[in-house]
Amino acid sequence: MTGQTAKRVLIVEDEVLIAMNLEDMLNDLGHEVVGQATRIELAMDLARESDIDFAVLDINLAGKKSFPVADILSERGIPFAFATGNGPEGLMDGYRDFPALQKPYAQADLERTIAQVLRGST
Amino acid sequence: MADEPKEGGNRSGRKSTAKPTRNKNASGSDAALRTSGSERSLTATDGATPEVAAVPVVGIGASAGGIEALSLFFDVMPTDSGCAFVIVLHLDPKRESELAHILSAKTTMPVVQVQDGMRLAANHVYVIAPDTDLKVSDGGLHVSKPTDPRGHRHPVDVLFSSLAADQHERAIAIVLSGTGRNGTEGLRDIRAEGGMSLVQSPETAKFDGMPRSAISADMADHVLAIEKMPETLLAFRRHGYVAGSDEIEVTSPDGQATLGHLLELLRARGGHDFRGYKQSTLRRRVHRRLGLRNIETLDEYMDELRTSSDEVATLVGDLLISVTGFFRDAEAWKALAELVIAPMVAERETGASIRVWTTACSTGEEAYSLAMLVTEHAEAAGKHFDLKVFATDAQEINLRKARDGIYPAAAMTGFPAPRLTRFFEKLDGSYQVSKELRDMVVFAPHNLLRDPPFSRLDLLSCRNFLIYLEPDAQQRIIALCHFALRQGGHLFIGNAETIGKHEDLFETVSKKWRLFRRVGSTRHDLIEASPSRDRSEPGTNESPSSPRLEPPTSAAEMARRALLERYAPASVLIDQSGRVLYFHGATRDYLENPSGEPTRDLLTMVRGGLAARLRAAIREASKENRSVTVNARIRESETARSVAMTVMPLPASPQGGVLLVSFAPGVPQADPTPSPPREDAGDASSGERALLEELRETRAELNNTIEYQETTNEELKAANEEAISMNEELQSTNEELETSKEELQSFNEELNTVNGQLQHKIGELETTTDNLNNLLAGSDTATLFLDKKCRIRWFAPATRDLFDFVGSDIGRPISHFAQKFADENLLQDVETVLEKLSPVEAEVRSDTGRWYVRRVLPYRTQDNRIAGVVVTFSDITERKRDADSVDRARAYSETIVRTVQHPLLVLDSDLRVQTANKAFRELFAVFDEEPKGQIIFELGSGEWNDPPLRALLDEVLSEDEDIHNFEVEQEFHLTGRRSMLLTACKLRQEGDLDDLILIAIEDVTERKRFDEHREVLVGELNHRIKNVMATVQAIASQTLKSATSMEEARATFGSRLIALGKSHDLLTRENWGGADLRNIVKDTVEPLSGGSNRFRIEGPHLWLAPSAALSIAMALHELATNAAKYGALATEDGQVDIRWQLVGDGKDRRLSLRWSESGGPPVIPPTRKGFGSVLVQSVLATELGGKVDVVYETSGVVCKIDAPMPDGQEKGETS
Repeated sequence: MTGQTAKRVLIVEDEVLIAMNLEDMLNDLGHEVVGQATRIELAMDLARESDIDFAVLDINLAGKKSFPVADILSERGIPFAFATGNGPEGLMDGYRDFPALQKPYAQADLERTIAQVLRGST
Repeated sequence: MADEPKEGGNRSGRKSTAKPTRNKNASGSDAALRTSGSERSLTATDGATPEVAAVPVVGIGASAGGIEALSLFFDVMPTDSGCAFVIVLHLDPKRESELAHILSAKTTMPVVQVQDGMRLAANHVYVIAPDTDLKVSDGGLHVSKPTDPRGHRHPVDVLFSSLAADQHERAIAIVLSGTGRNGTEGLRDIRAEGGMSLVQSPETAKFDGMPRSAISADMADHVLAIEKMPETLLAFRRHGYVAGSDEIEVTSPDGQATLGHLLELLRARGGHDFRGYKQSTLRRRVHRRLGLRNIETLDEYMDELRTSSDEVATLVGDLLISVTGFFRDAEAWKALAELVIAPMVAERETGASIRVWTTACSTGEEAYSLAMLVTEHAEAAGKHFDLKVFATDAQEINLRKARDGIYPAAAMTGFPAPRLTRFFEKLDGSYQVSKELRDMVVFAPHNLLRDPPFSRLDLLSCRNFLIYLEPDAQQRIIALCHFALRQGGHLFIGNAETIGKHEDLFETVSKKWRLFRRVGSTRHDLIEASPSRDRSEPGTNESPSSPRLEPPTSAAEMARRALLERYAPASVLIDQSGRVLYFHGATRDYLENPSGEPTRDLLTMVRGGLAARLRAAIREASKENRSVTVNARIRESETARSVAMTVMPLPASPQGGVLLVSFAPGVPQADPTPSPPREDAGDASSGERALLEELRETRAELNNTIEYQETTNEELKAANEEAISMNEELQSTNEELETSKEELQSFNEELNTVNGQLQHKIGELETTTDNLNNLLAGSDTATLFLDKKCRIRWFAPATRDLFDFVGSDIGRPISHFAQKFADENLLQDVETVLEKLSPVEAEVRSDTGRWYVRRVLPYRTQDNRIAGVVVTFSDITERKRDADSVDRARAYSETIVRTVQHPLLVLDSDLRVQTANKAFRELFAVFDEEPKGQIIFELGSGEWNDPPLRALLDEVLSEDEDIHNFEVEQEFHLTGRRSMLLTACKLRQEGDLDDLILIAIEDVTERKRFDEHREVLVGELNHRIKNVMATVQAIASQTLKSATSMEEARATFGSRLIALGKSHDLLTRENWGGADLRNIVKDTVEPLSGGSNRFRIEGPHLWLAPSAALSIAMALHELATNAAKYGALATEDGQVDIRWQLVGDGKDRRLSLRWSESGGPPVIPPTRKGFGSVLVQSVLATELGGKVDVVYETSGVVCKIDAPMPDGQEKGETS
C-alpha cells in the first residue's frame, strides 16, 4: 500500500493472463478492479457506463485499436493510461502525450503511471 | 508642213498632231526661234526619215582579234544605253558566222545577224553577215553584195561612211582590234559629219593595225582601252544628242571671217598663231569643239574662249597635232641613217659638234630617236661628238612630257634590246630615257611660223608639220629650214610633204624618204620676206596684218651695190652642171631665153657663137681650178661682137662646184675679123684668106658636130623616155603586186577572224574538256563508255580498279577483259539498256571486297542519238558498311530492349509511341498490338495522362535533363493500382530528326506491398513478443503465487514455459496465421504421454486464431500436467480421451470439446483453485467467449469446452 486512496479501475486487455496479472498488481496497489474487457465493444460499454476512477487500456484489442474507448473516457474526464507492446509510436494522434506503459511493465511502473495519471486529472 | 499631221507615224509628226491648233505660222515661228542648225532636222522630218533621231547608232569595226575585243566591249557596255550597235567584222564569205552566238553569251541585249531591211532598235546588237556590205540608212540596215573584189573590200569604211551620212553628228564609230587600214577612211567621213570616233588603244588591241591606222591618220577622237569606252560613249551621246550642232558655215554666213577672228583671239590669248594653218583643218577642228562643247554658234564659242583659258588651251591642243613615235616610219629612218647620219659620222672628227633640230617635236620621241641614232652610229665608229639636239614644240605641256622622257613600254615595241638597255631605264611598267640622252636634247618652246630659227644645223627634221599648213606657209617654213641648215646640212621631212618650189634650195638625197641637202648660199631674202619676223608677245593686241618692214640697208651695202652695178661685169653664178644660180648685172647682151621651156642652163641661154667656147672654158676652169678667159664672137645677123668670158671657180663653195662666169665686151679691134687673143701672134697677110677659109670650114664642121650631138641628145632623150615608160610599167606592175599583197592581207585577216572564232571554240571545248576531266577524276566514279557493240569508247582512270585497262584498249570489246568484280549480268544489262533506253542498276562486289553500284545508262549524243551506253561504278562500300553497322546496332539495341525485364517505351518529340517492348505491353496490358504512333497520354484508357508525368516529359524534352526514378502511381484499368519508377532520358538524333525520349519503367507495386507487409510483420512481432513477455510475466507471477514450494514452482513454471514455447512453435510454423486444433492437441499432450499412446484424439480439423490456439494449448497443458500428477496419466493404464466436434453452421457454429480421463486413480477434487484451473477455466473461457466446465468425477477428470466458433474465422486471420 502506498497510502493512496483505493481507486476503482477498468482494465481493457485482450490477453486474459496479462489482465489477470494486471489485476493482481492493482490489487496489490490497493485498487479495485471493477471492470475488465477483452473486446472493444464491451470495453466501450464499460467505459461509458462504469463508475470508475481510471482505466488501463491495451491499445491492441484482438486487432482493433482501443482509441474509441479512450475517446469516451476523455469525454467523461476519466483519467487513463495506455499499455502497449508497440512503444510510443503506436499511439494515435491526439493521444501521443498520454502516458503509456510499455509491456512488460513492473508494478512500480504501473504505480508511477497511475500516480501521474491521477495527478494530471486533479 | 501642212501635210505633216496626216502622215503621223513619226515622232515629230506626233508632236505636231498633239498641237493641232498650231498653224503654219506657228510652226514657222517655232522654226525661227531655233537655230538654223535645226532646219536640217526639220527637213529630215519632211524627208520621211523619222527614226534616225530615235535610235543612236554605234558602228563598230573590227577584224583580227576582234572577237575578243567585242566580247570585252559587251562585257562592260551597259545594256540600257539606248543605242543600237552595228558590228562589221571581216568574215570568211564561205562560212557561217558564229559571232552572233558568241556575243549573245556576253550581253543580255538581243544579238542578231543582219538581214536586209532590218530596222534598228535601241539596245540591240546587229552583226554583219558573211560576204556582205552593210549600210545604215533611214534607221534601217541595208545589206548588199560587196562590189569590190575580195581583198579590196573595206566593209568597215562602208559602214562608217553610211553611218556618217545617216547619223551626221550623232554618228559614233568604234575601231577595235584588226590588221590593215579598214575603217580609217570611214572615220574621215564620220569626222567630217562631226561624229565621234573611239579607237581601241593599240596597246590593248591584239592586232593594232586598224587602231594604229586610225590614230596615225588622226581620226581617233578618243584612244581608249575597251573598258573605258562605254563611259565616253554615253557621255558623248548625252552631249551629241542635245547639241544638234551643225556646220558653222550655216550659222555664220561668213565663216571665214569668223574663223579669222577666232584665230586672232587664239593668238592674243594663247600666243599661238594658226594663220598659216590650213583653213579646212582648222574649221573642222573648231566645229568639233563646238559639237563637244554643246555650243551652237561660233560667236558663242568665241565668248567662251574669251572667258575660259582652259578652253583656249583645249582648242589649241586640238588644233596642234600631237602624233609622234620613236622611229616613226622605220624605213625613212633607215634611209636617214644610211644616207645622212653614217656619212656625217664618217666625215667628222671626234670632238666635232653636231647640231640637230627637231621641230614640232611633240612629246620628244623623234628628238630622242635622232639622238639615239647619232649616238649609236658614233659609238659604232668609235667616235665621240658634241651632239646637240634642239627639240621644239609650241605646246609647253608636250615639252614637259618630253623633258621627263617617260614612255610606256609599248612605245618601245620593236626596239632592239641593246638600244633599250643602252638608252632607257626601266621604271614601273614604263621606261625613262637615260639622263645622258636627255642631256643631249634641249627642249624649248618654239613656233616655227612665228619664232626665228636655230642656225648652222647639220640636220633638221620637220616631219608631218607642213601638211597642216597652207602652201604659202609651207614655203616659208622650207625657206626657214634652208636658212637654219649649214651649207650641206640635211632636211628630213614627212612622207607626204615636199619642198615645193624651192627645188633650187635643196638637193635631193632620197626622193622617197624625203631627204634633202641644202645647197646654195643663205637666202636672206626668202627669210626676210616671211611675216614670221613680226614677233608679237602673247596678249598684245596687234594688228593682224602688220606692214612688212623693209630690211635695214647699210650705207656700205649701198656703196657695194652701186660699185657692183657700175663696175662689175655682167656675171652669172653657175653650178657644176651649168645651171644658173645667180644673175648679176646686165646679162642680156650675152644671154637670151631660147624658145621652149624655160631653162636655167647657161649654155642654152648664151647667145649664138658663145656656147662652144664657154663650154670649153668651163671644163678647163673646173678641171684645173683656175680662172680661164676666152674670147668669142657673138653672131648677130651679119655683125659679130667680140666677147671676153672669164670663168672663175669660186673657192668659197664647199661643194666646189660653183663657178662665176663674167662677160665683158671683147678687146676693141679695128679689124672686124675676130681673132682669139692667143692667135694674135701669127699674122700672115698672105695666109689670111686661106685661114679664113679654113675657119669657115672648121665652123661648118663644128656646126655639123653640134647638130650630130643634138641628134644624139634627141636619141638619148627618146631612150630616156623609153626608160621612163618602162619605169612606169614597172611601177604599174609594182602596184599590181601591191594590190595582190593587200588582197592576201585581207584574206589573211579573214583567216585571222575565222581562226579567232575557232580559237574561241577550241577554248570553250578545252574548258569543257577540262571540266569534264576534272569532274570525272574528282568524282572518283569509275566511268566507262561503251559503243553499241560493247566496245570501249572511253574510260575514266578510276575504272582501272575494276578492269585491267590500258590506254590502248579503247576500241576493244569489253567482253575481252576480265572483270575484277562479281557481275555476271553486265553485258546483259548493256543489251537491255540499248534496247529499252532506261537505266539499269545493280550492286556488285569487287574482288577486293569493295561494293559498287553499277549503273548502265544510254549514251546520248547532242543530237539525241544513242551511241552506246555509259557504265558507272559508284563505290558504296562505306555506305554499305555503315548500313551494316546500323543494322547491327539496331539488332543489338532491339535485343536489349527485348531482353530487359523492365518495361521500356520510346517516344518521339510529339510524345507518340515509337517502340514499346513486350514487358511494357504485358505489364500494363494497355494494348495488344504495338501502339506505334499513339500519343502516350491516349494509351489505354488515358492512364498515362498524368499531369506530373506530362510536366516531366516536357522537362526531359526542353531541359535536356535525364530524370531518374520518378515515382508514378496510377490506377490501371486491368492491372489495378500500380506504382512505377520512371527513368527518362532524351535520345539525341543526328541531323534534323526529332529527338526521342526513352522511358524505362520499373514496376514497384509488389515490392511496395512486400515492404508494407514486412513493416506490419515487424510491428506485429514486436507487439507479440511484448505480449508474450507480459504473458510469461503473468505466468511466472501466478505460478509463484500459487506454488507451495520453490521446487514445485520451478517445475511448474518450467513446464508451462515449455508448453507456451511449443504452442508458439506451432504458431510460428504457421506464420502466426493460427493453428490446427488437432496439431495443438497433439503437440501439447503427447510429450506428457510417457511414450505409450495414452491419448485418444478425435475430431475434425479446425483452424484456430493464435490467441485461441495459445489459450487452448495452455489449458490442455494444465489438464495434461494435472493428469500426469494426479489423474489418468499417473497410472500405467490411464487413458485420456480428447474429442471434439463442430455443431451448427455458419455464424452459429460452435466447438464442443471434451477431455475425459479414465483408468486413473480415484479423483479427489482439489481443495483450492490453483493457477492451473484458473488457466483452464477462466482464462480459456474468457479467451474463447465460451464455457469451460471441469468436473472431478471419481473415474477421472472431465473437462468440457463449449465455445462459439463461427465459420470463416479460419486460416488467414491474424489478431
